[in-house]
Amino acid sequence: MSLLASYASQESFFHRLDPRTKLTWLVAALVASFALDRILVDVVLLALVLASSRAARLDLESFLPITRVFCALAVGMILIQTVFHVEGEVFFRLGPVDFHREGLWLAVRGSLKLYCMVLLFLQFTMWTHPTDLSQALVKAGLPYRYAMLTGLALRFFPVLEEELGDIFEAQGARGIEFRGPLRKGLALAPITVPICLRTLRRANEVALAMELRGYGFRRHRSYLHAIAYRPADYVMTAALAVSLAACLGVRYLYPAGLL
Amino acid sequence: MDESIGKPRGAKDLQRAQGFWRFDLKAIVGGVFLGLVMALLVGLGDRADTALTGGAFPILGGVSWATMMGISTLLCGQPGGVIAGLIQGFVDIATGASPLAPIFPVVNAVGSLVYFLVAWRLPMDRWSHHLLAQIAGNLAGDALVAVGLYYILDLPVPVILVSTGVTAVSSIVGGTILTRLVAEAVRRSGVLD
Repeated sequence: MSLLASYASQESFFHRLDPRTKLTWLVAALVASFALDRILVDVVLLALVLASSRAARLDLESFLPITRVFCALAVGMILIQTVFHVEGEVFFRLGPVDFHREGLWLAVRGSLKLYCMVLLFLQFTMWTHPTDLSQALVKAGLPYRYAMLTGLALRFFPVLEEELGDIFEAQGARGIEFRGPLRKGLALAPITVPICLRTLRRANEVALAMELRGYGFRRHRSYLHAIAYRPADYVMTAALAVSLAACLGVRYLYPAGLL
Repeated sequence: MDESIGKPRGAKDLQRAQGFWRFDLKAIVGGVFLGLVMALLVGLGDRADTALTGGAFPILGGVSWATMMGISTLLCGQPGGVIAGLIQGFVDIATGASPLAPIFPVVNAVGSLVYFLVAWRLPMDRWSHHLLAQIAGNLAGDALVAVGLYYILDLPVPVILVSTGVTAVSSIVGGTILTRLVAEAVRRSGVLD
């Protein structure tokens, strides 16, 4: 089960946008979600994420694994907040444990915000090519030596996830029980050594391959497909900036209502 | 003749032999990859914690975090250790691993730096050295997590103290044992030679 979906190549308007425009959408949506702090805003953002993903022909089923994990997390958050956040009336009582209404609202709001953030990042990784992201970071002023690390991480996360799965299978064949999240978590020791060894070996190979290709030989490097702003990017960035400013303005003028 | 003469004996010796501040490509790429492994293992631990305690006490997640923080810093030095922490933090944000995920990059970077500052000064060939480094790294990281629990989750202070205390103790003990065992196993494997 892959949590962080990798880049999905498609021919769509959103795929053709500059990575900086997509990054602007990600940041603007996160700022709106956290600064406005309203359930309605998070619901609208979720709807926008799903609609834009659909328009970009992303496979919406890729959101399911993370949604399942997130549901377990949300249940944990609701339990913790309703029990420990002792404000508001008690809406449920289980023996000596009281569950409070204010905590429930807090947990629901927090969960929605988190879910929104998760889907935004997932969408970003699915419609932004790792190399484009590295280029965007280089254009933002980060040295290429470090900018390429994000691209490298996005490329190799599914590979290492697969390797971890292989190690589970190999150790399972040796008789170690791994069924269920609890057993998997308790079996950290027999997993950590082989995954670290494999990872370091792979890191050595990748580093050697990069050096052999002249990585870091020149201070500035060229690209086969250099990123550049197009008219659509300017329009999208301006629309995002205006929308965010309008939302923040409304929130500032009407702190209690409207949004 | 003793064949071990002139060869590094522990993870720390090995690191000294290679230089503690490492800006070579192997260390940087190693930091990225160990950061990804850290994200996977901490994710497994967190899910087990959710099954065990509803996520109130991230014990196994904490142990895997402490272990990978130690391993990445010992084997990749700095900035490899910080890179691993940052990568894990950003993967946690992207996968919504926890409501506290937005502060994880900072927590991991600070934890790794503090661990490194202690490990730098010690030979790291005894259990006590690993324990001291883990205590420092964990206390720095858990202090920041406690601040996050207070401001983000709005939990009462007594609950934060209990949760952070349980996590810190289990992470320090588990992290010390696993870090030394794994670092030694990696050294013996020869993969770093």
